[in-house]
Amino acid sequence: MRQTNLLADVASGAWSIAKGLAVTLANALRPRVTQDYPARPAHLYPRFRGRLVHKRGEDGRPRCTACLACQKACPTLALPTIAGDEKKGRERRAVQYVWEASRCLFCGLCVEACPFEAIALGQQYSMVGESRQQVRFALEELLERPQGGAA
Amino acid sequence: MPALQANSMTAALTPTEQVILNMGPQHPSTHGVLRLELTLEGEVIVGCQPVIGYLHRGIEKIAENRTYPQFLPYTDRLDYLSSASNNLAYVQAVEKLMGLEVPERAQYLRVILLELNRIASHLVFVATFANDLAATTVFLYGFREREPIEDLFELWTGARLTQSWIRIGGVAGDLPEGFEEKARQFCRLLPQRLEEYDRLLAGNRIFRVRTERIGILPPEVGIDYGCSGPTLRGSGVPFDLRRAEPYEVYGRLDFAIATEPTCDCMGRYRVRMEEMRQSVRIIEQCLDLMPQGEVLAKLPRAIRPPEGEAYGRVESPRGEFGCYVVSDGSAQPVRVRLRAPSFYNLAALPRMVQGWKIGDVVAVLGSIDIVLGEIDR
Amino acid sequence: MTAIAAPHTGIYHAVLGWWQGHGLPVWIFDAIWMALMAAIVTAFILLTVLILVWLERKISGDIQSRVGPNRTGGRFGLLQTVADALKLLMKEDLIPRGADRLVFIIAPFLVFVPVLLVFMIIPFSDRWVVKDLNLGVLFVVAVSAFPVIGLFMAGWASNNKYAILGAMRAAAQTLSYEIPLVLAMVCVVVAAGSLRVGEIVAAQRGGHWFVLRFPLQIAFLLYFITAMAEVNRVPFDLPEAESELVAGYHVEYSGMRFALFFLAEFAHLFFVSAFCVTLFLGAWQGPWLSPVLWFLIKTYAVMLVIMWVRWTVPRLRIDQIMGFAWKLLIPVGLAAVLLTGMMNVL
Repeated sequence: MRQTNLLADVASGAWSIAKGLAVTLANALRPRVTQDYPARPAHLYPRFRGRLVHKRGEDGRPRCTACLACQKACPTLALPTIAGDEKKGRERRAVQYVWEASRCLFCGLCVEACPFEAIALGQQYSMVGESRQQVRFALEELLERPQGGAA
Repeated sequence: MPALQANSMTAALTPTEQVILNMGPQHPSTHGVLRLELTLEGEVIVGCQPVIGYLHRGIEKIAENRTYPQFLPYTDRLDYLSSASNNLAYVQAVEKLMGLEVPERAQYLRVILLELNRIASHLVFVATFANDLAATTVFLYGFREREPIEDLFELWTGARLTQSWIRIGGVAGDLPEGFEEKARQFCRLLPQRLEEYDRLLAGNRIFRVRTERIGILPPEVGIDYGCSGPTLRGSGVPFDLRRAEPYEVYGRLDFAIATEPTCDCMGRYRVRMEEMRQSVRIIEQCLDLMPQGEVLAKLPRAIRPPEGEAYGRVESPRGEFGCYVVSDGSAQPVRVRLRAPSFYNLAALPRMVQGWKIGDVVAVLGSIDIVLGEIDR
Repeated sequence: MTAIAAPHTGIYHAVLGWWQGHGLPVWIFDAIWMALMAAIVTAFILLTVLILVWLERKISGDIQSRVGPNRTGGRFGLLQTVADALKLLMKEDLIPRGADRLVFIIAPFLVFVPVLLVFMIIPFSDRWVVKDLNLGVLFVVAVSAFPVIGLFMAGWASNNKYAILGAMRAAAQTLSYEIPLVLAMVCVVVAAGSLRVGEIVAAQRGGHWFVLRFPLQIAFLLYFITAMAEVNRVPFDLPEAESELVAGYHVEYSGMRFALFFLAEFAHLFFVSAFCVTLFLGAWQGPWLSPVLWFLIKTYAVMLVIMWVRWTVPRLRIDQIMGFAWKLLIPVGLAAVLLTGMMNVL
């Protein structure tokens, strides 16, 4: 180290550290940003892509016609089993619909593919299970509540 | 200059052994599952061999068994810190094959998404780089600043990290109410926070002695290895795809390319800080200039690009992310080859680390800012 | 066997009288008394360490815009450290294969015990000091050298490359920073004219703290910096650098053995701050409040600053640490001693 500007060097080094200390102090005096989850529920926006939801039509029955558009759109085979009754076209109704949450990417391609707007990704994010069986959901579990609330 | 040269005379008198130290796949500072086999003489590194593949998921092979739209969410998971860039490279290749025109509003929206992703990714860089050098506080500040960005993503797309929002022909949906205001608010907030980071890091004497003149990447070496992005721009090479081959609406926007001539870790850090500031400018311009219109082009029922090959390239936060798609006219691609910038940047690591000490490996690796997701695919 | 410096002289002599009244030998009584004093001081130190760990987590939380522990033991997580200690106690005691068992087991004690021992000369108040040795400062310097041996033993016995690297760095760092530390203390000794802590405190009577006396500010700064290096705290925490060596010299330690290292570090931090207060900030002296309170306030203030620095500043590389010590701190220390000597004569 050159002797001539050693003092200046040390002083500038010390001053730079002092400025850093000022920043941390300023931040220590600002409010905390921690959200008190799970004491307070997480704040979600309307478009949040969570658990799959089956929507009801005006007659209260699920809109899904088992047309398989969602199954074909899904990248990860998360909708393996979809079956409908014997009717054809718009009159058909799904009788079996299995959603494998463990395979789902929550990408929403299924929702976009559906021609009847029968499914959506809802606001529920907690799907905990101890086996694959427990995170495999059937149509009845995915159906939204009669008044239009989330499942 | 390396800090210490092994003295040949003392080596002759005192027999020393070279030690192989494994900075294993589980390590707090290797930014993912990367293994580095370091050959050491004392504290000095004489050899460095990266071992990758711990995160290999066979994504390129998976692509051969998916339809074009189905493959899109997989691209998010490559460079998962900036998923929109990956989406765009793939989508660009497919759009080139199909000759699709993307509506103008969609292009602006794509740019907004890309630049927000860039800021988010660079914030992770700053956070993890500082954390590797024990400035733990900046780690938390960086992630604190990411929260508003992730909020914006969630407000717009419904997902905080892997949005899968850039689709073939445009974007999946338009901006919701309140997005523009929140975005502008964030754009006002970020520069002040970046200023604070600079005071804690770039202005700090200790940080400077850890990063200045360390991990030199000469520009010729960088170009030879195929490095790109801030790693190369930190060596003074002003190569940025947004200027060299403008895509989307970058050609109309006013922003600067950040370069630093110093070739060291500090240079790469400064480049990324400046890029964040420029991204803020870009986002504000897009919000100002964006026209009304469609956000998705009219697409055929099934996406079957005609036979051919196309390469889509994007300036991701790590460099040139490329996607090469080969189509045979069917609904599934024949081959998708992904060019990950971190792969090539990582290849230059042994050169950058030779002759330095163990502590410097961490600094240099952090300054290259790799993501194993795209290296291993 | 001299009696212990007489704080609770009343109690001591009263019970001694009773003891002698029964015809029992004095030396047994003295031994029991000293053991009791040691136990009280040890308990106080351990309690402080528990509080310190909690404080560190809360302070780091404040600086980082987050809440620290807030679940165990109420809104402020007061029992968090207790929970952590219990958890460590219940862990499996792993001794790696190929490790030198005896050395491995002894090492933590060699680190922990000297730190407790050196509290002997600290005056907690005007009447509470375990033993005010004539060579107080020298005692501190001598005993403070022991933990290095313990660190090195820990690293070597672990049979692990990372641990060895950490141990060598720790040894190099601690030895290098001993010198400027001693030089800083020498300045104080020169200014006070005695190695005895009691007299150093007395020389700062009436608000004339040494930190206010030129050129002892240099010594103060020097002491502060080298103290952080002695305790292995950022920016000098390379021996345990988490992000580089995954915990360095104590990487192979688990459970209670690890807890000993951890406690030793915080106890050492407490000591170094308390000693700083004693040497430079007038120890327990201050208006209105009780001496013990002043002592605690000042010591905690110093520790808060050390924590503040820890959470602000990045870490130095080992050769930079060494260079800083040898090329900067030691010359500055020597200059400070010279200046202090000159000022004393003038």
